[in-house]
Amino acid sequence: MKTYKINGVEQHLSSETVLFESFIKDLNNTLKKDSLVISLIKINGKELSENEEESLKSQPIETIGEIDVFTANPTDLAYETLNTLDTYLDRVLATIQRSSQMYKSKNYIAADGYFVKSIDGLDLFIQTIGGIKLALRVGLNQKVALAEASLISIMNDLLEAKRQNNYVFLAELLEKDLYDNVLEWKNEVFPVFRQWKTA
Amino acid sequence: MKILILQLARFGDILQTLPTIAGLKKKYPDSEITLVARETFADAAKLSPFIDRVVCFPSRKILGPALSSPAQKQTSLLLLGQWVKENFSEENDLLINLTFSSASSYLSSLIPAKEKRGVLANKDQSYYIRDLWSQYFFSQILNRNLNILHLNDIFARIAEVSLEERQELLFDTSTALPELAEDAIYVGIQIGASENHKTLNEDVWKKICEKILSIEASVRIVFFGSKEDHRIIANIVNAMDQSIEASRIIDLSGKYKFHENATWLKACSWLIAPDSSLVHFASLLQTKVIQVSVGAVNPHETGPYGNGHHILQPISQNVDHLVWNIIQIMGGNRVDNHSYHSTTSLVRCSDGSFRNVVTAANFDLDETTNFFEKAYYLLAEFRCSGRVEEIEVPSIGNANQVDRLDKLVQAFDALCALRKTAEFGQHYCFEIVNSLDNVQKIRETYSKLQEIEALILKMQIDIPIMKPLIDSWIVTKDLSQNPQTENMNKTESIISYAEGSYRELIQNSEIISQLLEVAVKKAKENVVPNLKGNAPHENLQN
Repeated sequence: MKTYKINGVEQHLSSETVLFESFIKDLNNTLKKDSLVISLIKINGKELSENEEESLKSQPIETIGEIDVFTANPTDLAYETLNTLDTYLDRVLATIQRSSQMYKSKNYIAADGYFVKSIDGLDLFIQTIGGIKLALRVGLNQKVALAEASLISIMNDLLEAKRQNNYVFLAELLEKDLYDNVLEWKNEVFPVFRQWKTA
Repeated sequence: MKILILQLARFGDILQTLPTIAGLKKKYPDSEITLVARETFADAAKLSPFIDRVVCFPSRKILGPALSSPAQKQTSLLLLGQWVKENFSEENDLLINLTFSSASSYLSSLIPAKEKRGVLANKDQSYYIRDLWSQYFFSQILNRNLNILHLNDIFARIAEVSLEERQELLFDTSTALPELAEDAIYVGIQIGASENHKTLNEDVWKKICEKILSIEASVRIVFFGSKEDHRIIANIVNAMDQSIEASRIIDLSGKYKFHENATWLKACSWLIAPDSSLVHFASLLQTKVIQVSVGAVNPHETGPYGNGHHILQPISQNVDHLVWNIIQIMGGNRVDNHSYHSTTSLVRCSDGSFRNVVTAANFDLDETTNFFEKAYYLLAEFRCSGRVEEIEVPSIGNANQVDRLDKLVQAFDALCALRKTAEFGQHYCFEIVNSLDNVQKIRETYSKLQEIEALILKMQIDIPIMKPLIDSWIVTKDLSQNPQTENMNKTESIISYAEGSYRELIQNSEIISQLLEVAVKKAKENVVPNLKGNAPHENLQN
């Protein structure tokens, strides 16, 4: 009988003919009952990437080697994500600064490039923050709500300034308002999230 | 915070710098402000209570060798380096060069500072200007383009400060002022200007003085001026009606240092002067000015600053008309049509700061000039401050100026042509950026880009009304940056900045066109069809 491990504890598969895809699906459903999610899968000791997972989907599980599944609590994942976001935001801040500098020096080709990167980066950031809020069950917190409202307002101003080709205002918004808002997330809002568990 | 202001021009420019210095002190109360001024004119700085240190630039000693012979340039540079070392050992936080000369640009490049504004020089002595308002100054003021911003306001914008309505000044009220006669009205007269063509001749001044003294017996004339003016003043006084009591004429020329005139100037009810430093001095002291504007001067830029001053531009050859117009202003009467009469006032900008505005009092402005002056002002605020200024789009459609409307339509066509040409320029820039590994293609495209550049430069000469846009484009293209940036090769960098300049030119032409369309739409009811049939605005809207 095929076996696999969850967090190092050996488990038995009910049927050996199951496909990898349905194995993962069943496992997710089981874990969901305990408010857990899969955080990592290893095959023969090697971490499985998303692409590899995709290619394994249609293979019978018995043909796949040793399977190690690691689970995590969504809250823990949210905290891990916060740590990653910290570093990610440093990169976004650098991009924002470069975009602003380029607009000021009138190298608009490069400035536009960095601007698009900044906006995409912030888009992803907003989506991730939404996930973190859900995982941590952050409802209406004044600090978070204000930072969110301010970020959305700045993003709207940015897009309007870009539409008008108002590069001076655009550079100002990037350099001052947006930069300060992102720093606010890092220095003031993230600590609120981190204290959420203990509060 | 250590701030250094470089103002190496003359008295007038230093006086026009003082409100900006006050604004800087208000914005940064703990700052230490140093003003660098030429030795001859540094006295003007003594009027400001906000300057912590004045450093006199010995221009003759340092620039003298280079001016005497080009071969001596190296000596001057060595002396300059030595002088900078002696006077500026510590780094400044902000350096603002408000002089726009080659000497000042070189000097500002040598003085250590974290942030620098104004014209700077590279090691190869080419210029570059990073901040947008200094670019505006360089492209518009130095090229004598249409501009309605006063120098005080431009300096404040370069320094990013707001100006106060009234200026606090420092001067000794006891300076050589004898007891003033009770009920006497003192009228200041300044006859000298920086250049002879900017002032009136002796005979006109004589007539003005005689007429003023004839208003009533209590009027006294106070002559201000330098030692050089003293002889001319003596001629004027000698030529005047000899029945006038000598006690009614006070000649201060050459008597005091420039700043020591403050008490007397403040005691005057009026100052009558050509475009000169004393006009700015009187403006600071709130003494009412009647500026007689002659010669190549722009009263918008260098006229009196503040509420309630007057500018007279004589249009009649008859001197008596000008004299009579001055008396009309002093009496609070409407000026007849022998001189263009304008008044000044401070209006609030959308950011709350003040701006000096010159308003025509007795004449209709030329619609073409008025439209473009205001449109270029709006463009400057948008481009340099990022601000959409709330002033009314200049109205057009005066039935007496139908030919002007035709000119505006021609200008609209020129704007479209300029925009189209710039679009080609931008297109070729993109082509080069997208084929950086193809040398042959770069060469071909670059030669097309040069043709575009030549075409735009031809427009700069052929269509004067487009000149401000094209001058601005030249500065953006050539002087806005050292074209060395990270992760880019030299061609890519140069072309990126060139693309930026074309992009701005396209947008600037578009903005002016839009303003013109709005103005025409508003004027629709007033427009009289021209002789050819269609109303000009219909051509424009098509």
